[in-house]
Amino acid sequence: MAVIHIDGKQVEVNGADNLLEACLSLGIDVPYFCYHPALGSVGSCRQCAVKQFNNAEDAAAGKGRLVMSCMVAPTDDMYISVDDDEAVAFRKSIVEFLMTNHPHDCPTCEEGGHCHLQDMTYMSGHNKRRYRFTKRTHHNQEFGPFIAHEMNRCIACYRCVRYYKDYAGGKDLGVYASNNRVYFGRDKDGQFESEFSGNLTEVCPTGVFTDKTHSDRYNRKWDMQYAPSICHGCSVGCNISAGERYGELRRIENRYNGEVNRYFLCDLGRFSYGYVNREDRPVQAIEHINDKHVKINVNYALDETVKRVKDKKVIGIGSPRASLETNFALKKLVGFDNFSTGLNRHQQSLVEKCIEVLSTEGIYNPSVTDIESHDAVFILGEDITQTSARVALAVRQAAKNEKVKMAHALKTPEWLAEPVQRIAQKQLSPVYVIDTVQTKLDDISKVSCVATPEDIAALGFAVADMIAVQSDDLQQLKQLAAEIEQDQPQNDQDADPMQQLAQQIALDLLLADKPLVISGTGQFSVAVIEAAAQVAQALTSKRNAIKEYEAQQVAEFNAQIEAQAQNKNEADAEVAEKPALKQVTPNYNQQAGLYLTVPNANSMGVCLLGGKSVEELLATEFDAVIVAENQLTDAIDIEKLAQLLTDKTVITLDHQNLHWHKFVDIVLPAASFAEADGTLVSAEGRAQRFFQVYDPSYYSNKNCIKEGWRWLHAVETSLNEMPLDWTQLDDVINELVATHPNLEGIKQAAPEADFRISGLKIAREPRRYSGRTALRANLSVHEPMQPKDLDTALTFSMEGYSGTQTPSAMIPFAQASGWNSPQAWNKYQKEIGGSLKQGDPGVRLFDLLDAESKYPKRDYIRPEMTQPIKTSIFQGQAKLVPVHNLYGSSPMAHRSPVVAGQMQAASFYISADDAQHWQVRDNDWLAVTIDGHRVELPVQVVPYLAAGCIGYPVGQAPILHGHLPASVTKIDPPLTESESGVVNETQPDLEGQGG
Amino acid sequence: MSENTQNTAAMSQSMASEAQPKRLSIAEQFARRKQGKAPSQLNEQRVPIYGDKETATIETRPLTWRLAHHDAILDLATYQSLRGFEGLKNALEKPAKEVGDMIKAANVRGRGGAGFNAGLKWSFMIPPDGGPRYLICNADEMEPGTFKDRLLMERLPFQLIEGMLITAHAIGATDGYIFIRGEYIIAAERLMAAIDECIANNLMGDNILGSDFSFHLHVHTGAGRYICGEETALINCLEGRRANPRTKPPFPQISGAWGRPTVVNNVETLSNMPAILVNGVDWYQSLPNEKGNSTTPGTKIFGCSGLVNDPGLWELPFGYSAREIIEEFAGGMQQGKTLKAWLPGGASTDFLTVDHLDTIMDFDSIQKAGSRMGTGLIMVVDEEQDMVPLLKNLEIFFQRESCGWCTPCRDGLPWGVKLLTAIDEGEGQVGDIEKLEGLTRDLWIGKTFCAHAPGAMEPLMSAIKYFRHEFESKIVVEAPPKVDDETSQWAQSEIQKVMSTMGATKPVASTHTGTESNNHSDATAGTEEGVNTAASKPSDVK
Amino acid sequence: MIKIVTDKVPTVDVASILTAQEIAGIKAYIQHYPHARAASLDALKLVQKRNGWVDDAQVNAIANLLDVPVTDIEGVATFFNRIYRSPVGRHVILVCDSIACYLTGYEALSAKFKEQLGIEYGQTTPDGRFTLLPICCLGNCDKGPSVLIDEDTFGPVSPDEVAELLEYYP
Ligand SMILES: Nc1nc2c(c(=O)[nH]1)N[C@H]1C(S)=C(S)[C@@H](COP(=O)(O)OP(=O)(O)OC[C@H]3O[C@@H](n4cnc5c(=O)[nH]c(N)nc54)[C@H](O)[C@@H]3O)O[C@H]1N2
Ligand SMILES: Nc1nc2c(c(=O)[nH]1)N[C@H]1C(S)=C(S)[C@@H](COP(=O)(O)OP(=O)(O)OC[C@H]3O[C@@H](n4cnc5c(=O)[nH]c(N)nc54)[C@H](O)[C@@H]3O)O[C@H]1N2
Ligand SMILES: Cc1cc2nc3c(=O)[nH]c(=O)nc-3n(C[C@H](O)[C@H](O)[C@H](O)COP(=O)(O)O)c2cc1C
Ligand code: SF4
Ligand code: SF4
Ligand code: SF4
Ligand code: SF4
Ligand code: SF4
Ligand code: FES
Ligand code: FES
Repeated sequence: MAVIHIDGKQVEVNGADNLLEACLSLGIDVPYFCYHPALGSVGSCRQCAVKQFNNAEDAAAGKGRLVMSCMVAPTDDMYISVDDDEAVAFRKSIVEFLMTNHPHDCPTCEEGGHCHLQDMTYMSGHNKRRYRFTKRTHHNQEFGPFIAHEMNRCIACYRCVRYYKDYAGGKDLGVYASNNRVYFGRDKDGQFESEFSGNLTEVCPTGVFTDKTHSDRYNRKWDMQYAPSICHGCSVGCNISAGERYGELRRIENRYNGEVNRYFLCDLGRFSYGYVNREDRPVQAIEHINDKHVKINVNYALDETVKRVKDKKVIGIGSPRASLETNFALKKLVGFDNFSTGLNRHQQSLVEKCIEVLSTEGIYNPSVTDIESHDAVFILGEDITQTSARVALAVRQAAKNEKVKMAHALKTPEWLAEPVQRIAQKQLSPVYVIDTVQTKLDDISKVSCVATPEDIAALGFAVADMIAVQSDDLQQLKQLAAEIEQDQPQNDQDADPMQQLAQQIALDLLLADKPLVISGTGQFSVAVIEAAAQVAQALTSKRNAIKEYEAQQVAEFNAQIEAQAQNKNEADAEVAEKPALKQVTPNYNQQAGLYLTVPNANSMGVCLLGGKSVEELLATEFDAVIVAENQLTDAIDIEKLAQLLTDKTVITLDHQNLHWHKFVDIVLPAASFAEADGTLVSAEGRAQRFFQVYDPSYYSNKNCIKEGWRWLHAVETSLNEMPLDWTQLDDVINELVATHPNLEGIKQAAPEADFRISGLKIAREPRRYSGRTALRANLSVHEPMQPKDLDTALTFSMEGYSGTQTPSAMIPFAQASGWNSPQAWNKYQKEIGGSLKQGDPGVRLFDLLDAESKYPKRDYIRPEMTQPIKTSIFQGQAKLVPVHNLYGSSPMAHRSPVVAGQMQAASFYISADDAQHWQVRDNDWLAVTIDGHRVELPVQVVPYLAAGCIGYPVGQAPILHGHLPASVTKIDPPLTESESGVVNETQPDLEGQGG
Repeated sequence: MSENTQNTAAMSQSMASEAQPKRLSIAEQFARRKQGKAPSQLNEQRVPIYGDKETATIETRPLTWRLAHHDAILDLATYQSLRGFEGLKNALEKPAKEVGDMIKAANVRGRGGAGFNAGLKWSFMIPPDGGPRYLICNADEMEPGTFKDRLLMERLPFQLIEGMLITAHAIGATDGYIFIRGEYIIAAERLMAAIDECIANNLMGDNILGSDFSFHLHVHTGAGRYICGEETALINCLEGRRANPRTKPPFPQISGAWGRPTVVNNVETLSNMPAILVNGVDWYQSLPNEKGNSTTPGTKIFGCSGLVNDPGLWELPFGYSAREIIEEFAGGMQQGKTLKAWLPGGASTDFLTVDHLDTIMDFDSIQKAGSRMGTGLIMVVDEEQDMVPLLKNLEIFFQRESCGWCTPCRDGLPWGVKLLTAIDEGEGQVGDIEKLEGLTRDLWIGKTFCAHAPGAMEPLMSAIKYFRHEFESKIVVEAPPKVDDETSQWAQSEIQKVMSTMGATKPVASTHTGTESNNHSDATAGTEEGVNTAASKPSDVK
Repeated sequence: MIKIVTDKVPTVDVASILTAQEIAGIKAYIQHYPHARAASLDALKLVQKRNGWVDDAQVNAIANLLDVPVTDIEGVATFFNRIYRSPVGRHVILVCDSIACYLTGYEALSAKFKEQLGIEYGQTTPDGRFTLLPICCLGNCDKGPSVLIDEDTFGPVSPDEVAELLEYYP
């Protein structure tokens, strides 16, 4: 903390921040461009100038010098002025300079209305154009379907390259040329390689990088209706702000959550919302009559559903991508024993294993932001860049902790971005990655290797064993690590490489201040998860021992010194100074972190709710089955499903028209995340509420989309002739927590429906929202009332509260007076880049477990190594391993046309070495038969893959049980695409939809 | 030339008759090049750089005395025969700290332009930690009007190397780089050859001359860009990055090349070291006593370019006035030319005028006169020069060489160039000079990221200060353009027509409003005759 | 069995783009520095010697050889004005346009070059013989106006010597 004087006022600021951050945290508007809370300061734009004085007298006399506030650390008794005339004039000049080359584009610019440059220009008082000469112009590049490029709008703040390269580890964005011709772009046209490229649209303070998926149906920020929502793309649980206009979801923006995603999303989360806008969505109920799908009206649909399930043995299949509320409604409808999580046995055992581990004593699972504070990371069998992208971005920051430490040693603060990089050069905190594939994190990893899932688990257990046998003396460990580092080359031959690696990893994890283990369900292997848990546990207990040993040593040493000092004192007080007392290393954390990823947005939630696996439930006696928002073919193969559903009544609620729906009798149109409220539980166990963005029926009276839970409750009440007692979301939640006390925490995920701020609900629309009364003018000139939101404290209107007092979980969009761009989040934070004013959204359920409800600590046992299966193309035998792809593995993403359009075709992956042995080349075709399924795909040879394995694209090929033995043959390429075993969900079966 | 011109001109005339500077024809230039001569060997100065052959010794002209014996010293044996590496040997006998303290006491003021005490700079190095430490020689020399380092490298490569070895010993550097601009091709070749010869003779590499001092020196060549001369941009360039300057603090002595402690010194600064180690600190301090006008220790390579009779370089102790250098050494202004202004040391220093000619050429006195000594190579501007296009030339240089990192420099300099161009082309407007002055305020020290932009402002600021009338005389105060008169007449008649049909007697609206409110529009749009036809006008007036 | 992911797989076939000599030369440059990246500019200059300019493939190959992103090499290549990223003539004429040469009359000299060659700055003669460009101070100010042709510095050069000078560069 430092006490400083700003324009005559004495204030207390965080001395670890820079002056700009301090001002912004105090609510003082200082304009800036090149600084970004996540990227630090570089001092290039010169916009944030303030005046600094030597002392109070100089301050009074106005005698000082301009400094860039972002480059200065506040120190006690510092005098500065933001309002000083020279500072004000200089800031005005800077914007004027920027504007000399900036085009007069605002009316046609997609950035308009949420443009940081507009805001800062206004804030700086530049409102008269004096420059009368020509502007320099640039060519634009073509970046593919997600991001547009308009270089003329560039103000050369360098944020894009700093974000893309330095923060996100991307390689294909650079800065070229010099002087005022500097150019920011790729080395050639083409799509960005980074999974985090979409953040450029928010990082860039101007309209150079804009969201193309939005441009196609563009509208101004102030003309969108927003809801605070949660990304459904994966299990990380990033917070998003979803914007709608005219009944279409039009843009996903980052919504700040200081503990989860902070400023950044992955491209899957940002760009893959298109499935919500699909034309073939069931917006009306559909009945399957004589091989035709026929649209039916709501009442009929409900009656018919009730009629078909009445007095029948009904079972219900929930879904890991449906809300807790919908899953619960189904569970209640069919009876707690007749409910399935919607996962198959294997999938469920994996998620349950994660839950078990995270509910065990002594296990700590960090939030995404917390991941960034770790300084050694061991990633076991999870390709996080593809399965939980935002976590990978956090790990990239964790790797930089070594840089921060080195900078601190030279008294250089963390936010001084360039010096931190310069001081550390290539030094990184240790990151180890072991996976079946080469991952994108290999550029930051100390060692990155590929192995079979069995060997991955084996390495995990080896590391755990290695940790357990190490000394408790940190100094000894350091020595050992240094020795190993030195004579590694000689060791190579004699020692087992796995043991060697395990020792190296063990030592780095023990020597770090704060180590982290990351794993998850990506290998579909329980053993891998258990191995990760075992490492985390071994680490924590060894680190406790180390700390204890150190404390003991220090105490002994200090006692000795004290004793000596005393003796000396008695003899001759003046002789020598007392040697310094030792202290226990302050930063050494005993606790090791463990982060486990799971497959879907609500995998955790549905398994915490509890239910049978799909196979188990379908094996029971039943007449009718109700399926909620489940792509069942992800859990059970389609032939089996066909068999099991023969002669049964099948009802489904969904927002997508899925291939397997051909077996369904009635499809009830369910709401997607954009049209529904609900609760999800992320991989870290964070329960978070997402809110309805808009009411689709406002735009079309034919539209009878309803939240899954509403449909199910309606069915239940009609069926049992009971009153409709769930009139709002809170009713569902109340009943859910009453019956499932383990989920009690979800109630606190957001305020209830009767929450008000000064008597007002929270407005989903910005104050300036225009054309509300004409939205439906094409249908009718009558102006209907805006829809009423009974479920939540949000309102479908601009009339309501809008501002920084909004509870964190309910901020629909970021805007504050003078701040229209995403930089407006500043205004919602306690301190710049920190937590939101009222705490960060979400409730971490595993943190709420008390000691009794936790599992006691246990040892996980290394599984018996069975003779591993190996692929041999010549003998027709195959071992498959899963290969994840950001878009491919996500069940909904590839249903978005824009995403599908850029996806790589599904193929089998083979390592270069194996391809050579097996005489297989790129674009050869293989037929793999597994679990009675024949899948034919072309081959893609990749530099690295677990030896003796064939990688299959998860989610893009109908392979559900990759761990089973398989056979393989080389085949001739098929004549047409349709012969392959790939289900093309982008062109689903549309028959019967016409009626 | 009229009779009553300044005595500068008069004097130059007399000098000119004495010794006509020799101008080499293209064929001669080629011939000399064929003989292996470097560009700096092609100037035939009337007064040699070392002054008088008889009196040039290591004591009087410590930097260039060897050139009195040979045109260039390119082999080790010759260099050693002229007391080469004596300084190094003396240095190696002393502990590093003592050498550093010596140089600090000697007060060798940096010759790269800023004049910072070299020994003091070295003392900011953080203590050795076993890792690499770097010494970098700044041989980027791209400051317009500066050509001294070229000569020191092309003709005295061993001296620079010896200076670097002494410095490396003092600061505990393990590796060194000579960052030399790409255009100094022969200089780089000669330095590389010299380094190789040193390596072969245990004067470079491990355990130099049997001591425990080891040093490895490399030559790194640039590829154009003035900003590489800025020491931190230089380090970025050396590391294979774009040459943007770096954040300070931390300074290079704390975290420089590859993040490690680094000292950057100019070629001439480093070339000073050998003689100090031979002759001692007191001797170095006493050098300005020769003239008695300065307290700055040592000698400096001064020079002069522009339309003087004998442009060139001279090693002189501090204490000479600008007039002495221009008139006595550079032979005064060329025939018919009168001095109007001069730059003391490169394009990034402020202009001084005839009134300042008696200023002593050293850091403090030039600063007192309102400029900077910079590189100490004077450039004279004669009366025939129009300051506006001259400034345009200077500012084009600076805007082209801006690295593009910070806003005021990147976007302010082009604006300055455009304003100067407009003024020069007769399209200047009232307020343009004030805008230029605004630039000199906004692109000033501390407001830009590095000293490049302030450097660009120094000549501009001083030119406006001393020659404002030249700028003003080019700005024609906007008279209403001819075509606008026609338009207003036409409009007036149109309005009258309308009014008359309405029965009104007088037009209500004044037609002036149209032109008055147009003050901020592009001046070129309305003035070009013939472009604006009557047909395009009605909408303008409405 | 674990397999350590080590060698970066090159994205282009370096050996088919750069000559063995160039590759060896670049590798020798790398030896001068603690990190290979520092050889970026050396490598670009070395490769430029072959055709007078550096093409996209060569930029890519250098990036692969130094193991730095191609965007970084491109960033360096385009920053410096003496790395040419588009074709130039057999000889590049660089006319100093800085202040000392301005005072000694470079404008007339460059006008003469333009007239003689029939090209403007930045252009190449149709026969591919010369490219004409301005350059800042060549550190030859005492002999202005100065000109750098390929690796040779000349000065002073007067406009009527232009024809003779060009003769030396077939
Ligand atoms: N550009 C543009 N112009 C428009 C429109 C548009 O959409 N765009 N819309 C048009 C329409 S439909 C309308 S109704 C008009 C509205 O035009 P105005 O009536 O000018 O409406 P406001 O801009 O809301 O300004 C109302 C003022 O009243 C002040 N105020 C608020 N409460 C009180 C109070 O209790 N007492 C007093 N004395 N003052 C108070 C507010 O601070 C504000 O300054 O604008 C019309 N003009
Ligand atoms: N927060 C806030 N809310 C307000 C106000 C406020 O000051 N603040 N002001 C209130 C007041 S006074 C008013 S009058 C209302 C105005 O609220 P709205 O009536 O929503 O007014 P506008 O935003 O101007 O939207 C008019 C729409 O009509 C469309 N339109 C234009 N011409 C035609 C046409 O010929 N046919 C059809 N079908 N459409 C057309 C335009 O494209 C635009 O979309 O807002 C009220 N609400
Ligand atoms: C734009 C700019 C260009 C510079 N160019 C040079 C140069 O060409 N040579 C040089 O020695 N110093 C140059 N300098 C000064 C250096 O930054 C640095 O101060 C100097 O090399 C230090 O050496 P010295 O202390 O020995 O003078 C330049 C500075 C700036 C701001
Ligand atoms: S507000 Fe924007 S769009 Fe409207 S006239 Fe002004 S510049 Fe043009
Ligand atoms: S980037 Fe901002 S200021 Fe620039 S044209 Fe777009 S909206 Fe206007
Ligand atoms: S493209 Fe955007 S982020 Fe990048 S430098 Fe330009 S304005 Fe800044
Ligand atoms: S990491 Fe997952 S939750 Fe976050 S934005 Fe990406 S897909 Fe959505
Ligand atoms: S003042 Fe700024 S733009 Fe200019 S050279 Fe220095 S850092 Fe680059
Ligand atoms: S924000 Fe401080 S200089 Fe750009
Ligand atoms: S100004 Fe042309 S060589 Fe120096």
